[in-house]
Amino acid sequence: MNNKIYLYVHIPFCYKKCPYCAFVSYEKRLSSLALYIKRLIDEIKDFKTSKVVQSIYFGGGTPSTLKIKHIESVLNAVYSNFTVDKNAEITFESNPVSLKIDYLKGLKSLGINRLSIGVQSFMDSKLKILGRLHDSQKAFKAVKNAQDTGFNNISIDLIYGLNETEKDMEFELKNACSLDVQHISTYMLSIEKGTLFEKLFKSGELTISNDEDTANLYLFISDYLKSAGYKHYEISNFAKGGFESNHNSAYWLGYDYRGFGVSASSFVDGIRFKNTDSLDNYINKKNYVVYEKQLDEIDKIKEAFVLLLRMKDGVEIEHFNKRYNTNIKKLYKNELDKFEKLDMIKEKNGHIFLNGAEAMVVSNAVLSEFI
Amino acid sequence: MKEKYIRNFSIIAHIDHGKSTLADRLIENTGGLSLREMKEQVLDSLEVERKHGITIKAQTARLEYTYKSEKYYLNMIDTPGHVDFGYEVSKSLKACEGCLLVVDATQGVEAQTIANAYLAIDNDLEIIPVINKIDLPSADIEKTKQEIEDGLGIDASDAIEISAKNNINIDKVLDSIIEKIPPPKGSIDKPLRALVIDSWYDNYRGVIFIIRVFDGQLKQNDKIMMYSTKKTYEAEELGIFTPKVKKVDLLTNGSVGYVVANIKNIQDAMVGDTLTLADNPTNKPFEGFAKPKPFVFAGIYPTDPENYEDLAEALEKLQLNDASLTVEKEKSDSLGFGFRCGFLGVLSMNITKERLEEEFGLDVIITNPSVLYKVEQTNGEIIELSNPSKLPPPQKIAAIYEPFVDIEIITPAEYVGNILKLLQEKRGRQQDLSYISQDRVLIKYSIPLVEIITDFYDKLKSLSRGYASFDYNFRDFEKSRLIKLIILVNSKEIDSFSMIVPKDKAYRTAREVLRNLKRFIPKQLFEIRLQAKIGGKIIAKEQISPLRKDVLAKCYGGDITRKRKLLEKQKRGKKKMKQLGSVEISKEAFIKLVEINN
Ligand SMILES: Nc1nc2c(ncn2[C@@H]2O[C@H](COP(=O)(O)OP(=O)(O)OP(=O)(O)O)[C@@H](O)[C@H]2O)c(=O)[nH]1
Ligand code: SF4
Ligand SMILES: [Mg+2]
Repeated sequence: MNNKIYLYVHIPFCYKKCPYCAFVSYEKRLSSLALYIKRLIDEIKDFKTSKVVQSIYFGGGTPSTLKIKHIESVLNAVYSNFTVDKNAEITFESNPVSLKIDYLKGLKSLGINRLSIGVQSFMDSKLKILGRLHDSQKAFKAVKNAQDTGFNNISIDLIYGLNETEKDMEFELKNACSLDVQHISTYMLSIEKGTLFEKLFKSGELTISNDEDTANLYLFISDYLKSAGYKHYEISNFAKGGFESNHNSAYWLGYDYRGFGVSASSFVDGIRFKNTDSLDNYINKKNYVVYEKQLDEIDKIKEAFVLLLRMKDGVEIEHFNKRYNTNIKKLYKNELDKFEKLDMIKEKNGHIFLNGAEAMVVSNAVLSEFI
Repeated sequence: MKEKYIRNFSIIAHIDHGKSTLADRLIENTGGLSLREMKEQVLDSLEVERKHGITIKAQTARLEYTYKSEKYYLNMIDTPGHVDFGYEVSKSLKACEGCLLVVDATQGVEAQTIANAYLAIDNDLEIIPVINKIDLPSADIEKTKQEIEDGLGIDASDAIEISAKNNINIDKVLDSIIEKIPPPKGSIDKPLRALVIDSWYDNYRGVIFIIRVFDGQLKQNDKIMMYSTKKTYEAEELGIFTPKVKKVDLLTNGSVGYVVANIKNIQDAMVGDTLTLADNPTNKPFEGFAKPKPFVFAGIYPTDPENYEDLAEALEKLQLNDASLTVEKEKSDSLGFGFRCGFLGVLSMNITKERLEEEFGLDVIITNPSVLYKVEQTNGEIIELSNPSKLPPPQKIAAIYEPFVDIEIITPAEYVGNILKLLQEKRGRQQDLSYISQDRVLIKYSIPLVEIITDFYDKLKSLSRGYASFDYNFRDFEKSRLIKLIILVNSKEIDSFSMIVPKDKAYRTAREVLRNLKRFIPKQLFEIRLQAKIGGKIIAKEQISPLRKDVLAKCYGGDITRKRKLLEKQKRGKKKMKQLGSVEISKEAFIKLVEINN
């Protein structure tokens, strides 16, 4: 039925663990890199599909800890094992410190056509608190290098929620826009379990923006970027026309995706599974795949609906009903009534969607009633 | 079985003095259960009992004990110690000729020690004082004896000093039961005359009841008659608890056992009724038990209105097991159809809620507990009500009367000052203050019942580092200056939040209630206004600002499952909520409305 697939490759290495980060990534394990790549290639080769690959995404961790030759061997495995669409989006996440001209040239020559750069902030004091290795000058330089190398689909990440004032945020966004990148992801800082930030936060050494301020920043960002010509196409993502990330959208749109490497999740032919979070287990091939409970029909519909609502355009009613053989307006009659009254959800031109940034910023309260 | 080889006794004490632990030792020492089958407080079989570590229902067990080479049968009843379950004690005592009065040597005589000892004296029972927990370093045996003599007027010179926990002197307890407690009277030749002391509903076998035979005998397949209804049944199965269930074909004069007679209707097997034979009925029925009067009232509603019938049925079954539980239909604007229930106290109210949840799988909302008020209307008519929202409008009320209780508190002398202050705050009136031993004081007050039903116990305990105990008895209705406090949520009156409060405390209560309520209403997508009103006047306000941020603005790659779980968790949280109009309120709010944390 669906002939498309999206690939994800997880690179769980970082030069240094950031104090706020709860992603599966390891510091001080770079010596395992070569062996890890070998296992990745094994895993890629073990997976058979006739579906056509629409995108390849190197995420992390820090994929730019890889040498060009590592990336090459992984991509070769992909190309020799699957059919890859000739317009496939190939994204590479990177740390600004890695983006030297030579490295970028190497990436470009391998067919990588989209770069995601972990800028996080243009304020040096904030970058320090975030424990990042780069400063704002390096961030500017990295983007400039990428553009000079010919990358014309660049995304940068920004983090907020560290007591920024609106002025601070304006500064961040002005700089971001001045770079003329095609895509901007903005993440709210949250205190995650098991991180250093959690400890500091509990002991009172660290404070973060309160809900009220964070919400205001969220709305501010949305307004600012919209007027700068970016479309707020997903809860935390903005893009110039035509530059929405295909890959990330695949998750929200419910397409098949296959993740390789530590902690990667997959969803293939309706089956969901996830690789181990343990680098050692993965490398030693110790029962590293966990299959998740099959969702029954109704739960599948609910999940797809909720994921779609994260997108600006929301759910296209007719298309959705056909695809899932349902009647969404009947299924969710009470919920839709309730949230339409509260101005949180709107229906227009055959679409059901969250009513703008104000609704997005409280979206869990809405979505949790649809799941 | 000859009467002279039978002894019937109860174990009574203040809460936690070790009744059930002593029962364990008695069972163990007489071989009722093997060590493998034993567990702590083995007779506490209800889930709620094990969870709270307290006894709620009296339990019977027949023990076999050889004394001077003769075999005796001891029918033991372990009773609860908490003040709410006093009824269980009084009906258990009706089935006995004697009792073990257990006193914790580290605590001495406490309020329910006195209350239960007087019940035993009232029933002409032989009382054997037992001093427990002598293994503990803080045990003070001499002082405890002194308190038993001074406080209860019972000779404690040969009180048995035991450790139930460490199995010390348990044989002395057994011997003393046989030596001191008289065997049952009555005659096996007279017509059957048995007292129903407990009954409950079993889903498979219908009503099961426990009887004590006072005359005659009951054989399997006998045709029996319930004296009050004159309905007849066949005694299909007879048995005893050892405490394991053991079928028997005969229950003779003096014994205690259970009867299954295919009775489906719960009302037909009331505790206190007389069971006799259909062909040869007794002409000396028991007086029956005075039905215990509930003190505390609250509404119980199904969270999901569709479960109304299930709730009705569950309450009916619990009623069979708990004679004090009263149930009346009620309707609320905010909560729909439900029941107004009466309980002996807040503990039994909470236990009822837990049993509904655990034994019947129901999800219920309980409203703020209140008491029974008498309202004299301007037309002279007097009505009784426990639901504050049913209070007539002020212009129709001539006077409101509220129940007062006589409360007795026993406390170490050093805490008297603090306790008197608490009693004063709670609108109490001092009646008496006396020393029951050198450093222990008995305080008597009369106090509005409503003041002691919620946080009084906790306050008393914390003021006295756990050493003060109290008991109370209904005194009378007294006229009080009371008014109705109305709570509004987004301008809508929530009837199940209404309260009857003393006029002088109205402002303070209103502010506290709103502040309290705020804790139970999560931020929502719109602003919520809380108001408290008396008469037509708003006297307190609070507001809950709208939810500002609740979003997952993070990219977790393809880990959709994690996202879904997060939302599912949030959805489950909503199940703890009750929707009142458009506002979601935690179900706890209804019952904890006045539980003020400070
Ligand atoms: N040290 C010590 N602890 C004891 C002794 N007897 C009982 N306990 C402890 O006292 C606590 C209360 O014991 P229970 O037997 O449940 O008391 P109870 O009188 O049945 O309590 P209620 O049924 O709730 O009134 C438990 O923790 C017992 O382990 C004893 O002889 N010595
Ligand atoms: S670089 Fe990214 S993945 Fe690595 S520790 Fe920092 S935030 Fe986490
Ligand atoms: Mg007990």
